[in-house]
Amino acid sequence: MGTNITTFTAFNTARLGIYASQTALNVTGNNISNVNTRGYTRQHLDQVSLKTGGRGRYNSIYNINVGQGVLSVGIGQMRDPYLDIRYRDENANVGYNDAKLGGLEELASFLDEVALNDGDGVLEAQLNDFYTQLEVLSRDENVGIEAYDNIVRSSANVLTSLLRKYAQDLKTVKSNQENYLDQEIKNVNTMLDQLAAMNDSIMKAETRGDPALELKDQRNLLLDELSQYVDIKVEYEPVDIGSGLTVDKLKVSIDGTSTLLVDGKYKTQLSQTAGSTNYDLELSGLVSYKDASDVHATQGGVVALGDTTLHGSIQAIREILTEAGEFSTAAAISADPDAASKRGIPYYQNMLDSLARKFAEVFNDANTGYKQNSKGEYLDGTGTVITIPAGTTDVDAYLAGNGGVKMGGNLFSNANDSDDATGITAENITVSKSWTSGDVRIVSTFKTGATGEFDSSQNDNIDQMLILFKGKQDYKATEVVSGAQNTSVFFSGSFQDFLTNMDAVLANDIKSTSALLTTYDTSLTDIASSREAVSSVDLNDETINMMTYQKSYQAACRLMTTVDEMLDKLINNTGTVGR
Amino acid sequence: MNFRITTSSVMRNYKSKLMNSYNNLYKAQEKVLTQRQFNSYAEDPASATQAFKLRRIYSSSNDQLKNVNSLINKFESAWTSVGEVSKLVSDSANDIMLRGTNEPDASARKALGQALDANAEAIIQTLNTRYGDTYIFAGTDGRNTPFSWGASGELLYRGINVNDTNADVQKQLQEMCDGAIYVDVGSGISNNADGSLNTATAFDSSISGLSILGFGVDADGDPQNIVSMIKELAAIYGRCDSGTGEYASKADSDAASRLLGKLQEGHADIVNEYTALDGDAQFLKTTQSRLSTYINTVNEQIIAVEDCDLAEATTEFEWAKYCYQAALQAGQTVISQSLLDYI
Repeated sequence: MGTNITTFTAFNTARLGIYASQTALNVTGNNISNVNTRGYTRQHLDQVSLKTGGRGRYNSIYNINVGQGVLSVGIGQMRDPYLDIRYRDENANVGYNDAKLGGLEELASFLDEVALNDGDGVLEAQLNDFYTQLEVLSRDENVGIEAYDNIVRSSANVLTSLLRKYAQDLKTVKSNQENYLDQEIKNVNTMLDQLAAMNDSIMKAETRGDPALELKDQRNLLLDELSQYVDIKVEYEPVDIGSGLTVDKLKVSIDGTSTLLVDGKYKTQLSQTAGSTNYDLELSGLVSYKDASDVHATQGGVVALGDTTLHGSIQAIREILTEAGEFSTAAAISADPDAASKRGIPYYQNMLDSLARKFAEVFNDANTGYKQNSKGEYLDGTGTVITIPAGTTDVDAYLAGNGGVKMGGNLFSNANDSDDATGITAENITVSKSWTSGDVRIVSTFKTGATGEFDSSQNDNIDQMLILFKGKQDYKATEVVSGAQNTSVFFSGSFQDFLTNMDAVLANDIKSTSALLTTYDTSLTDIASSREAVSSVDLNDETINMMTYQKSYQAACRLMTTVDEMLDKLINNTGTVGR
Repeated sequence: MNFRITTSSVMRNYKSKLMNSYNNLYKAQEKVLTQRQFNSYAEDPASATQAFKLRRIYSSSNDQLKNVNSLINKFESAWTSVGEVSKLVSDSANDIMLRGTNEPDASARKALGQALDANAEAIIQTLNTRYGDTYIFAGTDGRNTPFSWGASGELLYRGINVNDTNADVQKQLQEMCDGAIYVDVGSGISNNADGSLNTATAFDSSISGLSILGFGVDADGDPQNIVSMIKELAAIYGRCDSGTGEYASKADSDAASRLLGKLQEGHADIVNEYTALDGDAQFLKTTQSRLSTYINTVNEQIIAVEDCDLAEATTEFEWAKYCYQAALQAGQTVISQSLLDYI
């Protein structure tokens, strides 16, 4: 029959109602206590209405099938997986730009001269000072007087020591960034380890019927954190555990590739490729986190990572350490087509080297030459004019072999105990040994005067040095990096223009990275807010829930009291006639 | 769309907006404290680049001004010296006219000869004057004394007899007169296309005493150098009879009158040189004034680029402070309240 009226069903219904309200209140209490827990996703009780009645033998027009209460079937989490994906993508951008900005600002802490020295800058001011001392030396009353030459030399000394200091500073930045990279890699590896362990625990718990919600929250937090180091793709793959049941297995791979980082209990480790000078990274084979001999079926071997595979803070630090902008070699550009427009520490090191090299070259050339008469004709030791054959390309070589009188010498060299000017860099530039000892002085003129001797206050070579200092020089990347792909002039300007250009490039990079970071960060905050709108605990919500479940508890209790009184009436006060 | 605002998202947003507000306050404060528009290159790359360029110009303009100041001193000394030389020459000419050519004073001719000798010496000493360590009138050879007397009493300029008739020597002397020392005085010192100095972009600071006095010998065989002329006149009058003052010979007498005329012409030339020097000095003074004004202008430009308007900066700071206070107060009302407080 279709009707099921039993005496004590209502008790059961009330009991189930009390139980459900009790459980729901517990869930609400859990939510409230976890309102400040990082990464906590609000939980809710899943309830279904209980119906145990079967079919009657016959269909009846009197059909009353009442439900038998509420069943709590499980506790679920409110989470939007799509928002998680968006969050992690954006977090990779934030991580990248944040690390890049950090590296660039560390560079700027050494190279930025604005507001220093009352606004005159440091290297800028010293270049100005060198020029000033040359101007002083060029006055006819000072030409040839050693004291003034010494002052120019002092200024040059300070200038070269500043360049060396800057080169050293950049090396410090490089070493700091290397440590930072090591640290980041360690962090990533720790996280990969933890993820694999957590995957294993969660899968085991789920297999036994425990939804492991708290563990999942922690895992999500780890994934969020990992996404800032590496741009990851998170997938859940159902795994058959028998009897038609499946549980989800987490797979983390590098976004844009099929390279796995974590696959269930299997994890890889990130490391720098041994012997690489380019900070190349590689992933070890996927192995179980518990047992290194348990190797993954498809990705058991080492995977070398390309230049642009990772995208996140690790990528940014690598770029800071390796990118050389205009000085990029052909190999670098083939590995990363954008290499010529990315500028990291090597770029700034090469720029300083370019400046030092060019400065030394220009002044060394200007201070070395052969004796001439006032008409510009070269003279030999006896004062006879040397005729240069037409079409001679290397005049200096011809003069050297045909009695030309060499004058002057290098002012700058690559070591303070030599005059050798080959391979000058910002790290080794120094005032030459001969200039320091006074054997070489700034040559005021190469041309003899009317008497055939040098006029004592003739300054035309110093004037030339003044013009060269302010004049345009052409800079080519191949002068400093012999394998650079760009062989044309990448900058044409005076020494100070070059320095300002370098500073401006850095400043613009910082400005744009900062703007990008702000944009991505704002976007990330928006996504985080959206995520929290779905997943986070709201005290108002929970308070209302609390009130609701309290009332329903009271109602269920009242139902029980009512049924109790009814049955009491039935059992104790019914059919007592004649007792 | 109904958006669920949760407690933690309110906290997160509040934290980040409050941090923004505090950041703005900090930036405004930095401006007021440093009185600069920007304190790092990245804050305003264009202005920072411009500021450094202006400072370079400021520095090199100051260098040029110092060059000019030093040159003005030199040229003023030169001008004074040439004035003295001019006076000595005109005194000589007057003396000759008064006591030499005038018959009644014939007996004073021998004494005149001595006086003229002394004048010649004085002129040379004046032209050997120094400014610091440099001989002003030595042209391009400022460390060495320009004028000296040879063994036979001939005048030497940088060791060469100024009256030497040899064509090569004449060329040498001319080269000495033409020699130039170019100094940067803010005319944009630069080279020609062939790499030689563009002389229009620098100031020739060399002064050759030989140009002032002249050199060589004219068609009559007389020296063109004024001091040589005076010396020769001194010799002529020195040979006059000490008693009667008679010329030693007709040739002497003719030479005396001839040389006097040439001396007076020569004096006119000196006056021209004097005027030319004055012109140079005036040019330097004008340049000095122009550079000073220019330096002030550049300084003002630097201030305009780098420094902030203090009134504006203070107002910005006060506003940022006010916004920050408002943010703090807003936080108190939004964060702590929830339904839990009311049940």
